[in-house]
Amino acid sequence: MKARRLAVEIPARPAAPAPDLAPAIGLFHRFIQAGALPGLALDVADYRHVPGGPGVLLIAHEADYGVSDRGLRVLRKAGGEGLALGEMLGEALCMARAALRAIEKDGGFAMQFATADFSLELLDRLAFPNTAEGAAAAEAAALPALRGLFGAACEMARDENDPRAPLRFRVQGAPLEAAALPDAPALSTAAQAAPQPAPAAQTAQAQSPWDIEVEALQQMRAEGAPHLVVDVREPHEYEICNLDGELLPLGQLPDWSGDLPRDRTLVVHCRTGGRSARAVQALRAAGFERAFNLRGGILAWIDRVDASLRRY
Amino acid sequence: MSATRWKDALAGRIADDWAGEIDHFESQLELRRAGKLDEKAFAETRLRRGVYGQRYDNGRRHDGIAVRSLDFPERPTKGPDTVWDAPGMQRIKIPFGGLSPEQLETLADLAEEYSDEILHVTTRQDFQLHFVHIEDTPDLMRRLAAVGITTREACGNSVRNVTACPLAGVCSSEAFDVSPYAAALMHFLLGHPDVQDFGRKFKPAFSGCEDSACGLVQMHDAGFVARLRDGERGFKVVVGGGLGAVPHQAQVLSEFTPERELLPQVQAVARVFARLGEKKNRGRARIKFLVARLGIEEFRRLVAEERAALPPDPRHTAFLAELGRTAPGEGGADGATRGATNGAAADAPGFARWRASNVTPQRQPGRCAVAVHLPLGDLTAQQARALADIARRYAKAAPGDGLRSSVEQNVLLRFVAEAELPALHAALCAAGLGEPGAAGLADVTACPGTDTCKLGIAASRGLAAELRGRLAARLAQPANGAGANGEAAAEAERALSELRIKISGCFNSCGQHHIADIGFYGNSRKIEGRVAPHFQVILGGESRGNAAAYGMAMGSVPSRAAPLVVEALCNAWLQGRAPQERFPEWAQRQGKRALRAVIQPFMKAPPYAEAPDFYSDWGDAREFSIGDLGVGECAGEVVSLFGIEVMRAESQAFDAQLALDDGDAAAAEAQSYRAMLSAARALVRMEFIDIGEEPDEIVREFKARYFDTKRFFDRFAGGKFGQYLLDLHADATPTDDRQVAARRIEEAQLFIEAAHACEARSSAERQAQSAAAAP
Ligand code: HEM
Ligand code: SF4
Repeated sequence: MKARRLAVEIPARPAAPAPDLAPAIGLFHRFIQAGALPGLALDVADYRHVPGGPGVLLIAHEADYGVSDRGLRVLRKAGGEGLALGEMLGEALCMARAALRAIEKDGGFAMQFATADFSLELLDRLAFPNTAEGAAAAEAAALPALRGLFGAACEMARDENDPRAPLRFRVQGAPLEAAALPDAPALSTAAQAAPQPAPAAQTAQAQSPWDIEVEALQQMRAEGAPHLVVDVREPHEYEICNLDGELLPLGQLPDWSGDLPRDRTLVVHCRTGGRSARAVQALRAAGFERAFNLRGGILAWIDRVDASLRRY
Repeated sequence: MSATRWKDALAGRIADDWAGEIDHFESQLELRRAGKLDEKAFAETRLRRGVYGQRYDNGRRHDGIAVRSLDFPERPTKGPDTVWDAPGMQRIKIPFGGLSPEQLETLADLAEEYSDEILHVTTRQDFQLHFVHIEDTPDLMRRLAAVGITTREACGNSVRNVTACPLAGVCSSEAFDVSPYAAALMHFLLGHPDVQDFGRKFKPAFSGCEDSACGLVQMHDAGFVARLRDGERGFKVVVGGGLGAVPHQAQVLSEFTPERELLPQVQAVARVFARLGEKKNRGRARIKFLVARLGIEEFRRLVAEERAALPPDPRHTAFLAELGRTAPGEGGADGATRGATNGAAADAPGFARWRASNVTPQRQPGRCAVAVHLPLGDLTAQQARALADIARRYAKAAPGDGLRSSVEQNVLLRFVAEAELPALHAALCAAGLGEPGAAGLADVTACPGTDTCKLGIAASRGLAAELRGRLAARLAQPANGAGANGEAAAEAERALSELRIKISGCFNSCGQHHIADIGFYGNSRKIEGRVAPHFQVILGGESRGNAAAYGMAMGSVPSRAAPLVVEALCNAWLQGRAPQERFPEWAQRQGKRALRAVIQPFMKAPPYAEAPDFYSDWGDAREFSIGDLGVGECAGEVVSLFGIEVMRAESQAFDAQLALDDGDAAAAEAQSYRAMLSAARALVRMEFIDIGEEPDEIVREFKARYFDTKRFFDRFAGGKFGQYLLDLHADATPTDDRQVAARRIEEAQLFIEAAHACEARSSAERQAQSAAAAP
């Protein structure tokens, strides 16, 4: 059996006062910018004004991710038509887990979630009406899949809800972190932004013969070692996030490099290390013997040193 | 085996012609998906069925850092520059807002299965679902059709929803119930061959009486006001009203059209409009332009001529035979005497306040109409089901009479027994629908704006949500002041609570900002090289008297400052008003200069370095960018030459308003003309620094550089705004008509807006070029 749509909701841990949903707007915009969630993310919808409503939604092509006072809800929609109910459910859970991890990593949204059980809603009254037969069909299709993910102790119990509302179950004994799921479902559209650069510094490739790692810069700063950070990105990038460096866009480097100190360590960076590698090459050629390239750029800095800066 | 398609499941429950239309639409959809139908033809087809585009459906979105292309699956488009898989909006036409509990339940199902769980009530009594996938629309339409709702002609160049005062049938000041006439007009015109060939949409509205706000007939393409003459029913008919970029007040076509002549007269109007209305230039295609061009006498003559030539049609009067002469619901009065209050008490917390603001006594003794306050017009599917239950229990009346959606974006429950109000209030509170203040200060109206509308410039809903929060908090404070002042203070609080705020995301005025006490429409301004969201402030519009007066534009304020502007205006009014003086009266008395002084302190946005939040919009964490055109602004640009020049244009436009205030129409027109010239000159100077001051030269250069090249063109309005200057320049006869002068001022303002937008586009292009030229 197939459903056109289904939703899983991971309950919020009770907290007093209930966490403010406003930060979820920024959180979701950051997720879109960074391509942090599975699916083609489109926009953020703010329904905080609706009592008992869906809260704040990140609308993607394949799913809507929502946070409300109740918790995190993932509604699996377009592109799931070909899937059996169990497969679709697996994808929704996979997306929910990716969202929980991304929320935790971001740190900017305080809601905590209880991941031992969740609720499942079938949003397809034609295939799965909210009747005894509909419930039996849904259980037959979903329970084997759930047990495959969570083990034999997993149970589903039909909610005694309004018969006009969608068919709904409580799924118990389903600890999400332990589920036998991939990190992300295989969707036909990819997340937009480049995937997060792998933090494994040592295995990564050199970008220039004069690379230094972000940790080294961090240490220089901590020790007060004399150095100058040179940022070769564009001004609008600088506005988004910066390391307090001297702004000297790559295109203007030839004009202004004469003003840089020759006797000081120059740590040159850009967004990911490409432009700054070229800049370092040029600076070295012009006789700046202490110019270095910050490998991985400001993104590496954000990933490994200071997550409070804005990624882009 | 149960059905696996809605088409089969609902077979027999949909009228044959409706079922056929939907099947046809579905096959058009399949043809287009297979690339066998032209994209424009398909777009027209789907729009006629209320299937709209939505923001970002061109596949591009500014995510706050850069414009990203949204990599949807490769498919044919669903219209020019419109990606197949991009979510869209479905508009659902609800004639005169009349809705049964079953229909509401179906809408709830659809919101859950095809949308985002939210039902949205619009400013024209329609419902909308957002984020709908095009391939779900045929089933969505079938499920609606099974409960008697069609989305046909919910959009497109056709007759749109027929609206009516939501109190029709229960109001004590109405001449008679207009609902059956609205229904008859809607059925008569739906799919009628005479209404298929309009150059633009046509919006009709009914009102039961002359004076109240509810029908807003003055701002519609055609308006019908109920009148009795010697006991005979009929209508005053007005035509050519409209909001939009340049608002027009409707003009009287007929002081009394007898009921049997209603449909033929509208048919005649439709024929004249279809025959003579503008077809090519969308910007001038609404009937208001035709009426203005012909003059109302000539228009009236043509309509009479057309009426005389109409072939007889039994449908013109058939509906009259079915009209019950007793108003609906008056028959059974069962609930009126039933005292059951479910244990709910009239002294429950909040009841008195809710009753004062949300309950209106009906003409029918012992019955009330109850407004259910929906924040920003939104309710959830679950709330909709609760509301259906509540309507069945408390609002007993003939189908379609118990529930009405309203232009305030609320829902009205009618025929509620007075004794049951406490129980009703308790039931509404349980569903999260018991908020007081319907149609009051905190009930801010907003169009969809940047949330979902492709034309949105600023976040009308974001600002509305922010204002709601602040104003509700303010109103919840008890009136301060006691003793002798107590009564005056209470009166002031009551006056304040009745103030109306309406917000549109752009100049198109879907939020009806022209008829608010305090109205806003979104625009943008550039400050030191960065674009910040702004709102133009419109003061003193009247929704009373069927939207009898439009407000005056006062200048733009940064979006972030708008709540402070509201506060300052409210305080100035409360302190300065004469006893009982309403806001529009006060605003008129103050005049523009004094009002401008109130908002002046808020007009300037601080630079980015001091207040970066001024450069993002309410409820949106992204850095602002106009129109998602991807104007990635660079820092460091000083106030441009353009900025200085265009300021002159803005102050001239303002002087034009002052001249109009002083009753000098000719001077107002002349100043508007000068304002447009200055804005045009500002644009020309960016490229041709030595341009002189001669109007001929300015217009010639502007036309050659910006108009003929279409650089001045708005993405949607095309050359409309540029044409204002060319027309006025070509015809320099001064006017002494206030209405004309007022329109010129509007035009000048729009021209200045367009100049700002044009400058932003040009500088984005220059930047893109220099970026491309860089190594
Ligand atoms: C895709 C989104 C929309 C587009 C492109 C759009 C476009 C427009 C345009 C161009 C006008 C000016 C018409 C004219 O007078 O020439 C207008 C007016 C208007 N629209 Fe919309 N609109 C949209 C959404 C809406 C929505 C969602 C509503 C209702 C909530 C709405 C209600 C109105 C109203 C009430 C007016 C004033 C009409 C009048 O002249 O009486 N529009 N719209
Ligand atoms: S006023 Fe503008 S932004 Fe608002 S709905 Fe209309 S066209 Fe869209």
